[in-house]
Amino acid sequence: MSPRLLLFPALSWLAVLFAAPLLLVLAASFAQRGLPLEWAFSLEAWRSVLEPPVLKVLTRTLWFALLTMAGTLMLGAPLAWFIARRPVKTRRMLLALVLLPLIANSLVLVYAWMNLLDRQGLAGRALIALGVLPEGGQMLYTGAASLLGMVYYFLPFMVYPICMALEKMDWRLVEAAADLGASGRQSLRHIVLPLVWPGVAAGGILVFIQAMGTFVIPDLMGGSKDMLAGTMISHRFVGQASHWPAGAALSVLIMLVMTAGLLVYFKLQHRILK
Amino acid sequence: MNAPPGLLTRTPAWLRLHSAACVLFLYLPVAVLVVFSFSDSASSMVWGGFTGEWYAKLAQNERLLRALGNSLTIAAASTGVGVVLGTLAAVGHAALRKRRDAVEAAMMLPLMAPDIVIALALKLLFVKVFVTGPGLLPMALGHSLLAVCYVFLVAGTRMKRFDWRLVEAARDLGAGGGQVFRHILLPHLWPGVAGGALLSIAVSLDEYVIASFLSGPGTATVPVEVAGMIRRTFTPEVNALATLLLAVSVLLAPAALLLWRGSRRAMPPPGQNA
Repeated sequence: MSPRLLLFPALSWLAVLFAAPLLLVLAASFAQRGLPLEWAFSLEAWRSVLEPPVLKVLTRTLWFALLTMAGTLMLGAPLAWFIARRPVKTRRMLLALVLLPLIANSLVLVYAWMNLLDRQGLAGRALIALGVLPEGGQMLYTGAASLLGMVYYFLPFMVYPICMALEKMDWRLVEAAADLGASGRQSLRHIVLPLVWPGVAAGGILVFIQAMGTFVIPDLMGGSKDMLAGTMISHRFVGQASHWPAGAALSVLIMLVMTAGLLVYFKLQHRILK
Repeated sequence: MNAPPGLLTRTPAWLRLHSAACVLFLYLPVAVLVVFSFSDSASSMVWGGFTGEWYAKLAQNERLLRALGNSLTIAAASTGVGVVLGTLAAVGHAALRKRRDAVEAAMMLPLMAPDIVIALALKLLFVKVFVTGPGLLPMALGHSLLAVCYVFLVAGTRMKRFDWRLVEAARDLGAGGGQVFRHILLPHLWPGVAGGALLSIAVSLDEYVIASFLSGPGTATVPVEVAGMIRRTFTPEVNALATLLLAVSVLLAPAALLLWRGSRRAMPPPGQNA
C-alpha cells in the first residue's frame, strides 16, 4: 500500500482530463481552422489575436477586471473592517452571511439581477423614474450591468482575506503607538495599513484573476456590445463562425495572465499566514 | 481582539450604514427573485397576487424532468469516481514523505482554472481526440475531474488528524492492507469522504459551463436548461425553478461544510493518544 500507488489513479485521471486537454489547447492554438479544426501548423490564430477587434476586447477585459477589483475594494474593505471589529460569534455569523451567496448557483444570481435591471424590472423602473436612464432605456445588456454583476459576485472574495488579515493583527501595537502619542490617523497609516496590506492585495489579486476569466456573468448580462474575453472565447467555439484555433489562442493568453496573478497571490498568501 | 484606542475604537454611523447596505445589496436580488416566484402574472417583474401554480407547472415540464434525470445521473457517476479516486489519493498524500506540497498543488489546480478553459479543453479532447462527441459520458467525465479534487480536498483535511501509529500497531498485530483500510482508515475518514461527496454533488448539479460545452441533444442538464430559459424569457416559472435550485444549494453545501469543519476539530492531533 505504497503512497505512490494510492495516488496514481487520481493523478493519472487529472493527467488525462486536465493536463492533457490543456496541452491540447496550446497545440490547437497553432493549428488551422477547419471543421472544426485541422491539425496543420499555422500561426493564423495567433495573428488574429493581434487584430484590433480582439485587442479591444482584451483591453476591455483587463479594464473591467481592474474596475471590478476597485469596486469590490471600495465596498468590501469597510465591510471587512466592520466585521473584524465585532465579537467573535457575530464575526463568524457575518462572514458566513457574506460567503453564503457563493454557494448559490451563479445562474440564479445572474437571473436575479437580470430581473432587477431590465427596463421593466424593479431597479430598471426606478432608474427611469429617477431620470438616470432615458425612457425605454435599460441597464441590462450593457457593460455597466456586467460590471455590477461582477462586483456583486466577487465581493465575498475581497471581504474574506481582508477580514482574515485584520483578525490576525496585533492591536496592542496600536495601543503602544497611542501610548507614544500617535493619533488614530497616524496609527492607521503607519501600523494598521502596512500589516493589513497583504490581505488587501490577496483579495485584489483573487478578484482580478477571476474577473479576467469570467464567462457566465458578462455573457448573460452584458449583451454583445461590450464583450469580454470569456464571451469571445466561447463564441469562437460555437456555431457557424467558429474558429477553434483562435479561441484556443485567446484562452492561452487569458491563462497566462491568470497564472501570473496566481503566482503573485501565492507569494502574498505566505506573507499573510506567517 | 483587544480594543484599539481613539479613532479606531468607535464604529462611525456611516460604517454601520455601509455594512447594512452591503448585506442588503447581497441578499435583496435573491429575496426579490424568491418572492416573485409566487407572482400570479405573466412577467416575473410584475406582482400579480400570490400563487403556487408555477411550482406545479415545473413538476410537469417534460424537458426539465429529463434534464433533472441527466443532472442526477452525471452527479452520481462523477461523484462515484471522485469518491474512489479522491479517497485513495487523500490517504496516499497523507502517507507521503516527500513532495507533499507539490502533489497538493497539482490536485488543487483544476479547481482554480477558469471554468471556460476547462470546458473548451475537454471539448477539444472529446471531439478531436476521443471522437466521441458531446454527450452524457463526456459530461460525467468532466465533472469527475472536479469531484476527485473536491473529495481529495475534504478527505485530505480529515487525514491531517490521523494517527498513523494505529496503522503501525495493526500491522504489528498482523493485519493486512485491506483490513487496515476497512477497520482503521475508513472509520476515521468517512466524514471527510461524505463531506467531499456532498460538495461534489452540489457542484455538479450547479455546474453550467462545462456541461453546456459538452452537452448534445437530449443531454442537457438543469443549469443548461435554465440558461436557455434565462436568455428567452422572464417568467415566474423560471423564478420558481431558480428558487428550487437555491434551496438545493443551501441545503447541500453547508452540510458538506459542517462535515469538513467537524473533520478539523473532531480528532486530537497525533501524539496525544495513550
